[in-house]
This record gives sequence, C-alpha cells and structure tokens, in this order.
Amino acid sequence: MSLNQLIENCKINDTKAQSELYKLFSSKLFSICLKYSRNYAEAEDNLQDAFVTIFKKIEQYKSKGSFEGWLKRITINTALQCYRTQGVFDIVNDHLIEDVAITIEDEDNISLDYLLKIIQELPDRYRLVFNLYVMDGYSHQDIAEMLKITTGTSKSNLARARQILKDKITDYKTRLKSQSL
Amino acid sequence: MSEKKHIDRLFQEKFKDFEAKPSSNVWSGIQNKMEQPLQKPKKVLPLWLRFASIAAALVLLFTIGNLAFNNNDKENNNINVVDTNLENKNTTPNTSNTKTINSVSNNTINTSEKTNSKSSEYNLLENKSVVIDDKSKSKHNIQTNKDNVNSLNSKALNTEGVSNQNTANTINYVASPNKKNFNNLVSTSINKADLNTSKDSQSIAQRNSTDKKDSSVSINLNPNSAINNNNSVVTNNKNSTNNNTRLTNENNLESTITNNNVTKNISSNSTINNDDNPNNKNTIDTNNAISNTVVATTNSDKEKEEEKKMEPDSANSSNTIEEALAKIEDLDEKEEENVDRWSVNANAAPVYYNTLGKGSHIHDQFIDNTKNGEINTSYGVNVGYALNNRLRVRSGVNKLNLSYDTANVIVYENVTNTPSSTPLRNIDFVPTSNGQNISVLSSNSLSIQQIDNFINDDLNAALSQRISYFEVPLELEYAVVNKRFGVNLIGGFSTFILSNNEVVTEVDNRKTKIGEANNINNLSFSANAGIGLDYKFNKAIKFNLEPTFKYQINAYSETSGNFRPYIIGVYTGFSYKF
Repeated sequence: MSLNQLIENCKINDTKAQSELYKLFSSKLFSICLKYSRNYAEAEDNLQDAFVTIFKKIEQYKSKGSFEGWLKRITINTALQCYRTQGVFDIVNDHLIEDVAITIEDEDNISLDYLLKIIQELPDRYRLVFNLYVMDGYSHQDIAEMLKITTGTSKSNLARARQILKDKITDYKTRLKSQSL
Repeated sequence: MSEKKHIDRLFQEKFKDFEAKPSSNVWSGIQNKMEQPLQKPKKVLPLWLRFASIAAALVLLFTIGNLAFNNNDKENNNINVVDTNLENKNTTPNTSNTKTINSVSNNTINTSEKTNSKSSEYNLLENKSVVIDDKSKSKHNIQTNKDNVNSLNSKALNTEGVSNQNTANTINYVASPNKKNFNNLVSTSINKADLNTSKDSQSIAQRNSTDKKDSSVSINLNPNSAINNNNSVVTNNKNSTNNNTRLTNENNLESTITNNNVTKNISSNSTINNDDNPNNKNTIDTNNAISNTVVATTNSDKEKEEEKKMEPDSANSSNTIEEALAKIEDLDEKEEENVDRWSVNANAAPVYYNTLGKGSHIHDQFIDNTKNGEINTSYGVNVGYALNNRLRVRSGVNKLNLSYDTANVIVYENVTNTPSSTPLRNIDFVPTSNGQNISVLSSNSLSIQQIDNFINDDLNAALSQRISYFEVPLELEYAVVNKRFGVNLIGGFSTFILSNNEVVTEVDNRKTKIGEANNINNLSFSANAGIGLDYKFNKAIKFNLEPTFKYQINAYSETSGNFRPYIIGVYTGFSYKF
C-alpha cells in the first residue's frame, strides 16, 4: 500500500490503516517526543496525544508539503501544548547572553542516551528553544511566535541551554576520565 | 584527536538518525482514545444545524403564509388576536372575551411559575449560596406577575390583558433561556471567586502572553456582567408587565453575551497556567457544560480549543501557543475551505401567473369572467453562499414579466367626456388620441339580448394586465442529495419591486394600451418553496432545474373577491462555483 493510499484510508477511519501509519512513523515521532519531553513517560503521553490529533486531523491534510513534515509539526505542537496546559514555563532572567560559539572536544565517546538525558534535564523552556532551533531548524522569529516570547528571550534561552549542555558534557568527560584512570 | 566542534553540530549529528520505539501500550492508548470521541462531535453540529435550519425555514414560511391568509380573510371576519384586540378597543369591553384572555394568561403564568421554580431547583444543584438569591428572585418575579394579573383582572382592560398574555407567553418562552441565565450567574460568580485565586497565576500569564490585555479584559468583564445580570433581574421585578417582556428579552440578550464571555473565559482560563488550582478546573468543567448547551460545541477541552482556533473572533482573546503554531496551517485550510463557498447562477424561466381564489383585481363585475394566467418569462442572476456542504443561502436579482387576462370584456369609447357607466376604480385610463374616454364592461353583466343588440363580436375583448417586477429573492437551499446529481429543497421569500404596469386590450390580436392599474403595490413579497434538481458537470459548473412556487403577498391593495396571485416558475440555468 502506498503512503497516499494509506493516508486516504486513514481519512475514512480505517483502523488497519491507522495501525499501519503508526508502525511507519511512531519511532521517528517518538524521538521528537523524547527530545521535547522531560522523561520517557511524558514522551509516551505526548506521542499518544500526537497520534490522536493526527488521526483526527488527517482529513485536513491536503497532500501538499511532505506528510512527514506535517506529522512532525503536529507532534511538536502537541509537545509544546503539553507545557502550555501544564503551565510550567519557568521564569528565567531574560538578560542577553553573548551567543559565543561553544565548542566541544572529542565527542566520540559520549553516548546518545546521555545527550538525550541532559536535554531532558534542561529547564523546560531552554529545552524547547534548544530543540526547536538546533534540532528542528526553526528560526528565533518562529520560536518567539510559537512560545509567545521575544526573539531576545529565545536567543538568550538558547545560549543558556548551550552553556548548560556544554558544562554537563565537560563534567561527564572528566568523570569518564577519572573512571578510566 | 581533539577536534573542536560546535555544540549544535554535535547534537545535530548525534540525533540525525535517532529513532526510538515506544512501548506497545502507547498504541493501545491511542486506540482507546480514538474509539470514544471521534464520531460524536463531528456529527452533532451539522445535524443540529440541519434541523434548526429546516425548522427556521418552515416557521418562516408558515408565519408569512398565515399572515397572508389572515390578511385576505379580513373581509370574511376571521378573528385573530390583533383583530379582536382592535375591535374590542373600539367597542365597549367584551366581558366574555376578557375572561378567556385572562384565564389564558393565568394559565400561562402558572406554567411559567413551574419553569421558574424548576430553574431554581436546578440552581440548587449548582451552587447553594446563589440559589437562595435566585429563589427569592424568581418567587418575587412570580408574585409581581401575579399582582399584575390581579390588577389587570380587576381593571378588566382588554388591551392590557392581551399584552399580559403576551408577557406570560414570553416568560414561558424565556423560561429555558432563563435557566441558562441563572446558570450563567452561578458560573460567573464562581469565576469571580476564582479570580482571587487565579490572580497570582494571572501575573504568570501576563508574563507569558504579549497580548495579555485581551485575556485580562475578558476576565474583568465577568464580574461586571454578573452585576448586570443581577441588575436586570432586580429591575425586572420592579417593572410592570410590558417592560417585563422587554427586560426579559434584554436579559436574554445579556445571557448570550455573558455566555460569550464565559466561553471566552474558558479559553483565557486555560491559558492561565493554573493546574494546581482544583477550583479552576471545576469552573472550566461547568463552563464547558454551559457552553455545550449554548453553543453546542464539543465535549472535551481540547476540541473546544480546536474550534476556537477556527473562530477568528476568539483568536484575539485566547493567545495560546498551540494556536500561534497552528495559525499558519489553519489559514491555509481556511482558504481552501472558502474556495468553494461562493457561486454565481444565471437563470431563465418560463413563469405562469395565476390566482388561487376566484376574484378579480380590476373590478367586482369581472369576478365571474373567465380569466387565465399566461406564461411569461423571468431571468436573472443569483449569488449563493454555502453555509456548509448542504446548506446554501442565495440572493440575487430577477426580472420578472407577468400577464393575466380577463376575458369576455367589452371595451367601448365614450363620446361624452364624463364616463357614463361606473368607471373601474382600479384602473387609471389614458385618454385615446381623439379625446374620448374608454369604458370597460363585463359582457356577463349584460344580458344576452343586449349583447346581441349592441355589441359586435370584435368588441368582445380581453383585458390583459401586464406587470413586470424586479424580484430580489432570499432563499435557503438544502441539499437532500448531494452527488453528481443533486436534489435540493428551497425555501425563502422574495421582494418584488414594481417596474412596469399596464392594462392592454386584446381584440383580434390588436393590442392597445388603455391605462394602468392603480392598485398594484410598488413593493410586494412572496413566500417561495421549490425543489431544485441539479447536475454537476464538474466541481465548478452545475446545471439547475428548479420548479418553484411563489405565493404573492401584498401584491394588490384592493381586489375584488378572492384574488390571491401566485407564480409558478421552472427556473433553469447554470451556476458556477468559485
């Protein structure tokens, strides 16, 4: 069954097609959820909500633009929505931090799990901004609109996020070294 | 190897092919969620709309039709409420009549009493403190109503009795909105109470939303509107019957306004980040319940918000992140939805004009003459706007030519300047070129002998009334079958603006204009009903065939006998959607 056929079948609420669609995309979308969420359980909740929204709104998908992009957008929206309703945007000091290039040395031995873990440990808004900007290529302008913040805040949040991540990675590496010694 | 790398690159590369398999209970969770709410909200709204619109169309038709019949039957002394009222005003108070009216008003007030007490019971469930107020208010209300009735009884004034009946009716009618109104009171007061608790979080909300002004304004509105409600209830009690109706109406209006506020409030409440507050959740629930009944929206919070997104109005009041995100998408979707809403339709039709009753629009003497409608033409352009995929409102302009013949008429020229026989009161004659006046007689009014003696056959003519109108229809079209071949039900009304009017005589196909009717109203109306058949060539172009019946109202100011004109037209044409 082609993807288009699958989408058409999903539009008429065909359970089998929905299951098929889920199988095709769940892993990819779950990775997004993991990045945007605080932990695994929350990511699963988000994925669930995202798919419910997808199935409900799939009839609105007019096959222009990539379907995967559409799915990703909905998933990201769902993840953001979760923070809107939960109301846990932390208050951060908005003063600008210089957007210096933070560099990392010798990243090879850092595991993906650890990187994911430190992303999830970021304060909520730092995490969202970092993901939107770095992982999903949104501009500061987009992010500002999506999160109802100013572009300045977005930039400063990103810088803060980078700083925290860098610190943690450096910390991690020194620990690794001390272990190996 | 210590290669320096930007931290962004590190993450981008690491997560480039990152995929993770969710546990199986996610899918089962999705299935569970999908099974319940998906079908319901999609279907409820259109169904409700369908019935409502059909009902509205029917009510419209009946009221117009009824009005028309009553107007025509005025001469037959058919009694309706307004008539008796007027008659009684002129004559001395009719005791039996007043009695019935009073008893009726008593009855209706009793029923309204019941509904009132019902509503107060309803309140009891909602909120006790408010109930006490409401109860006393509604009791008070009833008492004033009773007082009014009593005073009216003693006065036995007919006119007021009638108006009282009206009041009772409206109270009765209003009773269910009242319920909502009271609910509103409850919910708004809850909101008010909530305001204090949510003030803290409001500051957070303010931080988060740049357009916070809107949301805070809608919150501020609430206590005001609650006060308004109270005010109107109180003044309600004070005022007398006539004012009462007006006020309850206002109340009604206000309830809808506050309902709007409430619905706005939902969104603003949910934008306030306040999940620790259980009260707030409660209000959202109750608000939901209310707006469910009022706006007939969907059940769950999320769906409400989705709908909100669709509404441009609420876009201002609720500034949610999700909304901002979806804005671009939704705009696209909206544009696509709107693409097919408008359509233009050009049509032409053979129209047949005749009358239901036996009568003449010209003169009494022609009542028994044979008369026949003629087939003429109508053509015009319509514009349609689709409310949804089944309902369409349309309007336009049509040019309509009508003619109606009265046969067996004798036309002769008077030599004297003053017409000898009684002139036809409904026709203004134009003098002929040689300064002679024209008189018209029904050949039926002459005995056969006279005809033989006096009249040549060729003087036995027909009198033809030619009318042309500009017609502005306003019609609702409901698609029963909406496939390639479609079937529609059409209901509505038309406004006719008189553009031309002449009376011609036809003798041996010689037509001469003899004057024009003076009893044709410049503005008249019709109630329309029809069945539309259409065939869609493609998405944009459609062929229509619409046999339509139009019952004319207020077409003539004075007619003889029972002259009730109607128009039957088979409107054919093409419509183009864009």
